[in-house]
Amino acid sequence: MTAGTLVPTTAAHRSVRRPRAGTAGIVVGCVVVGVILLSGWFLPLPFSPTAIDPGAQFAAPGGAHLFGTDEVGGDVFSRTIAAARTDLPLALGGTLLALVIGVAGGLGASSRGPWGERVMRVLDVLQSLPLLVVTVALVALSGNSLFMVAVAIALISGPLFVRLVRSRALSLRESRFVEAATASGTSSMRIMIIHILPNLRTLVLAQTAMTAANALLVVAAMSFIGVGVQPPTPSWGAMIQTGAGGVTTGRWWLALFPALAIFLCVLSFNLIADGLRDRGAGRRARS
Amino acid sequence: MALARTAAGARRSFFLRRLLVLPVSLFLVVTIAFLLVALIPQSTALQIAGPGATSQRVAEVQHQLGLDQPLLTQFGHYLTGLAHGNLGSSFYTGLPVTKEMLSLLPATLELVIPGFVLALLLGVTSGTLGAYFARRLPDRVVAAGVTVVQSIPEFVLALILVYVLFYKVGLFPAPIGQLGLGDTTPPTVTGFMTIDTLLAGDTSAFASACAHLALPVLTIGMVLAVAFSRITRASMGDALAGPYIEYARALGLPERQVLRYALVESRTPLLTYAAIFAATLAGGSAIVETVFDWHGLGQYGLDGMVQLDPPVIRGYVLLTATVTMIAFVVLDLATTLLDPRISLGKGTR
Repeated sequence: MTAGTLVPTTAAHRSVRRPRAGTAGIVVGCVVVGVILLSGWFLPLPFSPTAIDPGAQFAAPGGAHLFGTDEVGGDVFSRTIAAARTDLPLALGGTLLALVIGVAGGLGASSRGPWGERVMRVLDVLQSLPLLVVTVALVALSGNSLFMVAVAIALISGPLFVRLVRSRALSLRESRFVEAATASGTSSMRIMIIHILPNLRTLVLAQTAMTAANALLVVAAMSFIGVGVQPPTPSWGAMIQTGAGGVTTGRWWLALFPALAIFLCVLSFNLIADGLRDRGAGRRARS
Repeated sequence: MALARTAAGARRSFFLRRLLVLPVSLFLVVTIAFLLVALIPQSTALQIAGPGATSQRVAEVQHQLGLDQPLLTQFGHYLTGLAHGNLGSSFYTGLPVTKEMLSLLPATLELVIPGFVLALLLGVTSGTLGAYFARRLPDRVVAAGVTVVQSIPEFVLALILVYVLFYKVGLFPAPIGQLGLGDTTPPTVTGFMTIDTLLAGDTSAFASACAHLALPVLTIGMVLAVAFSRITRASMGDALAGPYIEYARALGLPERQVLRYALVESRTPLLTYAAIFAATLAGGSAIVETVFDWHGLGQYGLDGMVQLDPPVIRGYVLLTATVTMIAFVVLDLATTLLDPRISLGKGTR
């Protein structure tokens, strides 16, 4: 490989090529998540997701049971679709909580004075904890309250928001337009909301999509472990847990379909996040 | 001269500040670990006592937990115990937590260290490939691979590997535990199964131990490799676009050397993330250990959390958080020493 064949990564290249590529990912991601979410609510299911049928255990996919049946004869297709009703809103709710707390905390911690630094040190401590494992205890303690699952997501992802928003807000504070606003007597609250927040939009949106991806993984991991969403309410993580044994006995359909659902949703969130990030990079390069 | 002295002074005061914050942070962790358990409500004491427990048994549980005492007294007892290195005994097995965790540590390290090394190799290689061939086929392939693996939950990845490599291909033994049923467990010397089997001179057990390691190590390696790949791609991409790389090429230096310069430039972010990941692995990989029934530290901690076993919860949180925090301080010191450009003023992070 010679040096001449290398394409230099210049800002110009990025701004010309990236936005369009990003848009495709965003659209595809939104459509896939939207379809899965809506089918959870509106798709007529062939069987009740909580029904059991002792006569039809471990039926292979095909026929009446499109995705086969599980160890109690439950219809894997109905359960996989119905689980979208619980898992996705839970992940998105937790993401929303992380977003609100993280953005408010990040803006607050970017203000002058010793408190910004102190907040960051407390975050250091929080993030030194094995958070996924600790939040399992919190959810178990609360008697598997779904709200605590959302809180767990906020605890795991919130600090990342705070760090991101704070670091960007700190550099924005040094910019001319904020200086001008301060000089003309704008209150610091107004500066934050009118001048800084809108400039964080793309960055925060990208982080939100990434958090949603991670949140769904957390929800899935929790129900895989057995905390959070409790049976008979279907959830993808729990379905994979009960179907895990099938992997070594040839009953692959038990774990495959819920795993596919998680994969498609997380992949979509990641595509949206990447697309938004590329857009942000393109915009910054142009300005 | 004057400048050098100030720089050294600034470095010393930065080190000192970092070291002084450490005890405060550790105290915070100790407090959090305490509160996690102290806030167990009455109903949970009932849950711990088990269904069908008499009210006397529930009161006993509360007494054993010290929940019938004022919060400050509880905190005092807890701190005294801690000062004596006593983390208490598991509520369910009655085994002392400190001893248990120490005996499980080798099993976890045996899993986590090769997994980490594998991730570093895979991640840095693929990230460098992506950065070098930026926007061309290798970059797109690596990026697609990263996005796909990143979207698979850890436990699903483990199950996929089990299905393909154990059930279909039959390359590795059944994914349960550290040894097969037919293998004789060697006498515990170091606690590392591979080393102990070798010491016992049992080569078939050694081979079995290695084969049992393969799938969980591969899982941990792939999950972490994705993170390393992203970081390497980003920092190498920036480095390769830098003016000194252009200069190095203009001088006609061989591409290998150019790449080496870029790798040196990416050293700091890589080291930072390597330390962060290593620290998070200190407590084991709870989910992977659970899937493979590994009986390591992570599984122990996770089981403690799910069962609400107070001493285990406290012990696990304390151990992992302490290791992590010390690792971060060491990291801060190492990066400032490695990269003199890092400013040491207030609010650097």
